[in-house]
Amino acid sequence: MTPLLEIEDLSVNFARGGMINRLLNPLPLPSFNILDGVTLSLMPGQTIGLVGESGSGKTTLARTILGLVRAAAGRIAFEGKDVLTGADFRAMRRRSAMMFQDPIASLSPRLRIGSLLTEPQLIQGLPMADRRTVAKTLLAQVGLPASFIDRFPHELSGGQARRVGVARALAMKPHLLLADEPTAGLDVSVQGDVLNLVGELQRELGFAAMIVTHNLAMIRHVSDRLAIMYLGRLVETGPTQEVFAAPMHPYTATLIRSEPVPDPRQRSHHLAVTGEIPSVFRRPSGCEFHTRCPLVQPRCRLEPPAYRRAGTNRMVRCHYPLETCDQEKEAFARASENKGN
Amino acid sequence: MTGSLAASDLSVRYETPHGNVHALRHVDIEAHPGEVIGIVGESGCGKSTLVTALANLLPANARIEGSIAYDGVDLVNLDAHRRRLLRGDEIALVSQDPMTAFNPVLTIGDQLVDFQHHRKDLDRAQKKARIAAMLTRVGISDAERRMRSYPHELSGGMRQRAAIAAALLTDPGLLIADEPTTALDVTMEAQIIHLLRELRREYNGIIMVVSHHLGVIAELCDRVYVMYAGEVVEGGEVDAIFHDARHPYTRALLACDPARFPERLERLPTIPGTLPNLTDPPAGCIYASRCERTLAPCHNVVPPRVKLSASHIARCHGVRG
Repeated sequence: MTPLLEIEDLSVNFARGGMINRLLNPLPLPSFNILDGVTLSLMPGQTIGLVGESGSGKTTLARTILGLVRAAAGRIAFEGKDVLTGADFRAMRRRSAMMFQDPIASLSPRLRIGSLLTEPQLIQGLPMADRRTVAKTLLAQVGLPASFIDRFPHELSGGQARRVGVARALAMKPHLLLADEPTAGLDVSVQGDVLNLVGELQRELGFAAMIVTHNLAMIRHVSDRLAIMYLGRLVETGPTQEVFAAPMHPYTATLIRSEPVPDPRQRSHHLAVTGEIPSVFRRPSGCEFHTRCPLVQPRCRLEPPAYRRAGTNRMVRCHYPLETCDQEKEAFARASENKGN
Repeated sequence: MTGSLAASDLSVRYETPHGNVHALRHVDIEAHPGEVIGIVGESGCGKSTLVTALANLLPANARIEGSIAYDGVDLVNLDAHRRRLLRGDEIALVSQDPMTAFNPVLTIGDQLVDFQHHRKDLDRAQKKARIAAMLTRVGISDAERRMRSYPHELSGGMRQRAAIAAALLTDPGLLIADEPTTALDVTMEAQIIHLLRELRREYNGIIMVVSHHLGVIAELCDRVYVMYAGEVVEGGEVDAIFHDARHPYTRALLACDPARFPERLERLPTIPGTLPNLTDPPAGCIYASRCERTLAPCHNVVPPRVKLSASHIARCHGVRG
């Protein structure tokens, strides 16, 4: 089976400094690697979770896939065909959709829900017998009453606005859905609602999904594969259940251990990770996680690790991947003791 | 008791052109020095109104009934001047977004000096020395340099640490942390939780943590109040709330948290229905319209406060003490 989406060695550079700086400065400004060597593939119907802290390049990756940010190097292929030109991206965007992070901000405040839902078809020049019927069908699909057609975005609650976001993303019957933090700002009792809806529609319509998030508790229930990012590079990919059961990269392990546990009997008393994510403008040498890694070895400071295969369907970027859970737990315990707690 | 806080039968309503919004109704909470109290609930449950009432920051259209006693003083009937003296001296607030807590055009150091305005016994140099010590205490390395930084030069986690330092510099008897980790990444969140936990060992006032995140509450608090649509529906020791919850809302809320299920779920649990309209709250139990096990009186009789143990209470017709 050909993958729906294939990304190979994708890199994105941003030049530092604003336009004024660029006009005043005759020399080319130094550019900075935002994404580096990202290789990823997504099968039809599959869901992949893209996880990392803020500043890890998750959103940039999603935007690059849709051609909203220009790649400096690398290859993107959609349904077996390379996506190179602006026209290719436009054709691809017709069969893919994005759900943006802030649902209310992504809906124009001056348009009614009915117009918002049929705008994609108008832009793509698809024939529509009756705009209102199309909008009503879409509303019914996401479980909203037909009367919403005449409402304005500010009249919706956060959860309802998300549903409209889902309806609009699915209006073009996409083969790929990119969802940027689909549950940010939602209550736990509503977040399940939105994810169940996306899951149901996915089973019914068969699209593939890429969910960008930092919510580990949620992503473990809704994704088949996980891709963990750190400073614009993938550090680990693999089937979700396997990654949670036995993370190989120390960063993945730290993320999982940092998540607060909703059980007062399981309070963790040592800290999983200290320090903050470094800036992409000052990338650490060697392995980029060495500044925070509890298992750091001298080699990690000098030599960047390769992104290599580990097991049948997992990849990891680490010189010394974790083999067992105990090894990681002991190291974390030792590291926090050494800190003098 | 000295330094204790007790709100009894506290109600707050906002007068709006569309009618009165009954944002808080008959809330009873208490907290003692040395305790970490958790307030948990979803959006619209009234936790922010409760916090602003405790910090005396309610807007002008708010009408307040009942009493808030702090250290034996009734805050509700206090005159504006004395209330202002209390706020920022005895009561400190750490807000969700530390960026808005600081003035963007002043350095962190200058602002932290101003926060100590009530310490008339210290001169500027002494105040600066206290700041440096406090910043180091909350885990900011290179404190001297950070004091000369502006808020935008600090990362989110660093700003939240500085905000906690600012609150502690006033030696408050009541420290309210309103969603202290919501704006942060999970690794920073773990660090702030760790910091708050360390601080409580040295600090002997009340810490009140307000959050919608059950994990944060479970990690930090001794006692928890669960709020729904402006009412406290259940309160008790943290272990009782997470392992022996009795109110149907508490149970449903706990059941919704995906972090509680290690295995993949096909469908995530949810709470069907929506919040009641608080301009016209229902006559009976506030949760009746969404409750799975309603009884005859639920729709028209206000449920009693049932005492389940010395510290565990639930507001429900369906529980027996």
